[in-house]
Amino acid sequence: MKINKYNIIVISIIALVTAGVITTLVQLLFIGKNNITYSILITFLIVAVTLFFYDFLITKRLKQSMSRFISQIKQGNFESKKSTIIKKYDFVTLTDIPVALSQIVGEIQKDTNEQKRYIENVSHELMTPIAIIRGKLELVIQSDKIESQDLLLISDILSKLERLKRVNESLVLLSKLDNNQYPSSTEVNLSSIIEEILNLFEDQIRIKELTIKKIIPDDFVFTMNENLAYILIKNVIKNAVNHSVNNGFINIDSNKNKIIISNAGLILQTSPNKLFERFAIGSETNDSIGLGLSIMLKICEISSIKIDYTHKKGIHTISLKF
Amino acid sequence: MKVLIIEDDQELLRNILKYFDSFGYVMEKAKTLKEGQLKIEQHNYDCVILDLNLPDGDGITLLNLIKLKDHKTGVIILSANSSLETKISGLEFGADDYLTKPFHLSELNARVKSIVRRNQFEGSNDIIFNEIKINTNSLDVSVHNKKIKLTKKEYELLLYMVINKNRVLTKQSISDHIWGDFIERNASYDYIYSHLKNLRRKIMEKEGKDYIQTIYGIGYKFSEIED
Repeated sequence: MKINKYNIIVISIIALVTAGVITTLVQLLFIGKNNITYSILITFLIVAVTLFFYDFLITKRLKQSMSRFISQIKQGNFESKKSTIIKKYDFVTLTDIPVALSQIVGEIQKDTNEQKRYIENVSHELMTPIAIIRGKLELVIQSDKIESQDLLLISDILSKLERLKRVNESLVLLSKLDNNQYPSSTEVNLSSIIEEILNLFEDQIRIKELTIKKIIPDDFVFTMNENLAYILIKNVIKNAVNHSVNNGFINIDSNKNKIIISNAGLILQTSPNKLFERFAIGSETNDSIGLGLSIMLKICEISSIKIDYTHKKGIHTISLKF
Repeated sequence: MKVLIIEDDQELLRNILKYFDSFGYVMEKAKTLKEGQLKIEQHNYDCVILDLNLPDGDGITLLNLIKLKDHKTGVIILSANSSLETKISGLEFGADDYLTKPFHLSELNARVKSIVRRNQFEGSNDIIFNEIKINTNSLDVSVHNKKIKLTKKEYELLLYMVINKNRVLTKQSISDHIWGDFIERNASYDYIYSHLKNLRRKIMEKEGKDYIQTIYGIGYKFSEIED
């Protein structure tokens, strides 16, 4: 460890002043006959050594914690540019920290922009091939010569393509949410959005013979991004419909600033907390891609809505606290 | 009917041309912005299918030119970007419709037909398939000149199938067209079947023939009955 020259000067001055003050005090109290210069020197030495030792310890601890801090950053996001980062953040004095931090922030900003572009590119690059494959298959099935077993194979390919498309779309949406690309917010009427979405699902509701009960005041409003409100409610109701048992029910209730949606479904096999992770799938009742819940969670997070999920003997309840 | 496709992806272009092949349209293609511009300046089209992402620029710059040349020319934008913002800005620039990749070829056909109908005939148009007559203006459907009462979904279903007649339509494409692509699908697509069953019954009650064939495992086809 090197002791900085500024430290030496500062410590010397402090030690000198302190020694002078203490010696003068001692002199005043005891009116000693000893040599004044001698006692000043002794006190100066004691104080100086203590301060140097203290400085040494502090600097060492500071350096240790800094290097821990740096190695954490290093392991996080900067793997590709490891070497330059380590050299840059070899702290010597405290004044280096702001410089180093601004460099880190710069890197992060660059990465974020890169990420946004990357997501756009991925979306474009994947959607075109999916469109081409699907188009080719649509052309293939027009042929009279095709056997019905082959049609089943094509049908399987088509449904996997559909899944691929949906995963892609959902991931793009999640990254947009992560990047906060839905800033604008207006007052949205949740009651009418729920009504609208229930209408969209009327066929599934009819086929599953679900009983829907909706008790929400017509003027239930909340200030958030309208698209996000729509996506959130759509996901909640979609889940409730898809995971309902036939002849089951969906209850949509409200309590002050809360909307509570419960449905009768199967008994849950996985832990509720795990469900909100990306690609976690709770049951095998449908062709779910396991991203719906993390989309809901993300929307709630950025719109300051508290979302809660409970499950009790086949009754699944989601509550949204606005 | 004359249609111009401006699309840089060779394979996608080939798919569209092949699907549209036997509908009797005059199809022309352009692979770049420049080529497209040239064609628009020289010819009149009923409909232009326009990809936004072209190698020599943004397709949106052609919109003005197309509409200036002939405001009746319908424009359908193709884009890989599904975000609402791009969709809205495309429509604000004067496009008639917007289709996100990946789209169904049958859906593109339905959109082209619908736009041309709207722009060229000022709405008074009947679509006739043997004894079945669909008036797209009043939304009336008649079989042997006897009116039948269809729900909105049954009407959409019939129109979609008649426009894509003699083509096998996947259940997925029917579902996307009528229900939108928001529905988490299960493999059965029961809801399509229940509406088709009603539609079939209503047509046959008025002595119409059953033109709807089930293509096992894939979907449905609306076509002449082969004896």
